[in-house]
Amino acid sequence: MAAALDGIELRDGALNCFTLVRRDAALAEAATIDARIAAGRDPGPLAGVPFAAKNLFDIAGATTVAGSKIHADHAPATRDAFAVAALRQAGAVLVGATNMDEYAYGFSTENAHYGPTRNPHDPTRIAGGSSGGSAAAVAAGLVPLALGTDTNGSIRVPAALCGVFGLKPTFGRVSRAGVVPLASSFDHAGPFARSVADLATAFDALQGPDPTDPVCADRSPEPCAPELYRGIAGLRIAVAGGNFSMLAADESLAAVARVAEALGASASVTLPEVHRARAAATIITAVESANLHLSRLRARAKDFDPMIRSRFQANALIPAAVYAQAQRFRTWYRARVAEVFSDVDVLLAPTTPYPAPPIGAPRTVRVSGVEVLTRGHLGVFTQPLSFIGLPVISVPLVTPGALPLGVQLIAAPFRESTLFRVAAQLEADGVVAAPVAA
Amino acid sequence: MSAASRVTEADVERLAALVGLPIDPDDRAAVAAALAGLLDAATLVMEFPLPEDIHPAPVFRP
Repeated sequence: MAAALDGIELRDGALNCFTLVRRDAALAEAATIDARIAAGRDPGPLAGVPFAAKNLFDIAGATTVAGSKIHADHAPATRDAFAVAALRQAGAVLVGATNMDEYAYGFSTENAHYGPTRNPHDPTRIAGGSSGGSAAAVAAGLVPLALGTDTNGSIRVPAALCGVFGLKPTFGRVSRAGVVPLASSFDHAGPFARSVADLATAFDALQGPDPTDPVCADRSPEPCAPELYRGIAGLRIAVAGGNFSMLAADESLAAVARVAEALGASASVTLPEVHRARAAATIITAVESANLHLSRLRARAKDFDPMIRSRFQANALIPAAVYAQAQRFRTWYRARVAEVFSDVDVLLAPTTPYPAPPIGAPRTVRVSGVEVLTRGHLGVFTQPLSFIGLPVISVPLVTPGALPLGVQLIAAPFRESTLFRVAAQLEADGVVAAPVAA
Repeated sequence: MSAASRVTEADVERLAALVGLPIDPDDRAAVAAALAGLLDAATLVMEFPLPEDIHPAPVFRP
C-alpha cells in the first residue's frame, strides 16, 4: 500500500489523475486488512488491493466535487457510495478520488478547474472522459483497479484511449446510489482494470441488488470470475457493421478486424437506425442534465467550466416533445436490437473512432472527409449502446509505437459472463492486453 | 459536423427568457452553436415515424 501511495506521489504531478489522495486513511485501512489476515479471518477477494474512485462517487468524510467548483462548497459525504462500499467490503482499499469532466458531461477530462488529466501513453494527449482520471491511473500502474461512471461512453472511451479494460455493466446491474447523477436514464457505474480477472473480481463485488437505487435490478449477483476460462466454443460472434464502420479512422476499424479474426468472427450484423439512437441519447442526456443543473445555471453560471456551461445552457432550451419522442424511440430500438441478439451472442465494434486527440485540440476534426466535433464524436460508437443499457467491455489493443485503441464486446442485457469469456480468451491469446504505460 | 439547423444569438436570448435562464451575451454564440447541434439531433428523432402504441421507455409502477 505504501508503494502504491509513493507511486502516486511520485508520478501523479505529471499525469493529474487524482484530485484527492487518502494517504493516512489508506495506510490505516491496509493495516486493518493485515490484522484480519493475521487473525485468520477472510479478508475478501480484493484484500489489500488499492483502488481509486472518480470524484463523482461519495466517499465518507470527503466532499464529492463532481469535477466542479460549485460542488467543492458542499459538505463532506456522510457515507460511501454503494460501489465504493462494495469494493471496500471485498477488502479493497480506497487510495483516492480521480479527475473527470465537470459533472461527467464530456469525453476528454480537460477540466478547467482541476486541469487536464494526461494520457500515460502520451502526456500531450487526453485521457478521454469523463472518467479520465480513473482510466489513466490504472493505465499508469498507479492503481490496479478504479471506479468510473458511463452515461454515454464515460467508462469505455477513456478505457480505450488509455489502453485498459473497462466494463459498462447492464443498466441497473450495479447501483448508482451515492453517485452524482448526470442523466438517470443512462447513468451506469463500473470498473477499470489491467486484467480480465481483476475486472471480473471487481464486477462480482459490485453487483446489486440495492433498493436505494430505483433502477437497480432486483436480481441476485451472477458471478463472472468462475466463468472466465470456459472458452468461447459455441458462442456466436459477429462484427457490427453499418454505422459502426463509418466516420472512423482506419486504425480503429483495423482493431476490430484484428479482434474479429482472432475470434473467427466473419459475420457482420447491422443494427437499425443507429444514428437516430445516438441522437435520441444526446437529447435525453441533454434534457435530464439541464433539469438537474438548472438552478445552478441560473445562480452560478460563471462558476461552471466554460466548455461545459454553454452546452448545459443550450440543453435547457430543447422543446419537450423531442424528449418524449426520444424515450419512445428508445422502446422501439430496444426491441429491434433484442431481435438481433436472438441470432448473435456477442457483437464487436470500435470503442472510439480514433485514438486520443491532443490536449487542447481544435473543436473540430475531419474524419473520412467529414468535419466532426473532436470531443463529441468520441462517443459515436458508445452512445447507441448505453442508450438501451447493453453490457459492454472495452478491451485494449496496445501496440508499441502507437496510441492505444479499444474494441467493444457487446452482449444482450445481463449477459456479462459471456463478455468475460470472450475477453479472457482474447487476453489468453495475446490479442488484447493492458501493459503499464512507462 | 457543421449543424444544419440555424440558431441565432437572438433566438438564444428569446428562448432563454422563456425558461427564465439568464445567459451572458458573451456566451450566446457558443450556446447557439450547441443548440443548433441539438436541433439536428432533434430532427433525427422527430422525423422517424413511430406507431402510437410505442410507449416511453421509463415505466412507473405505483
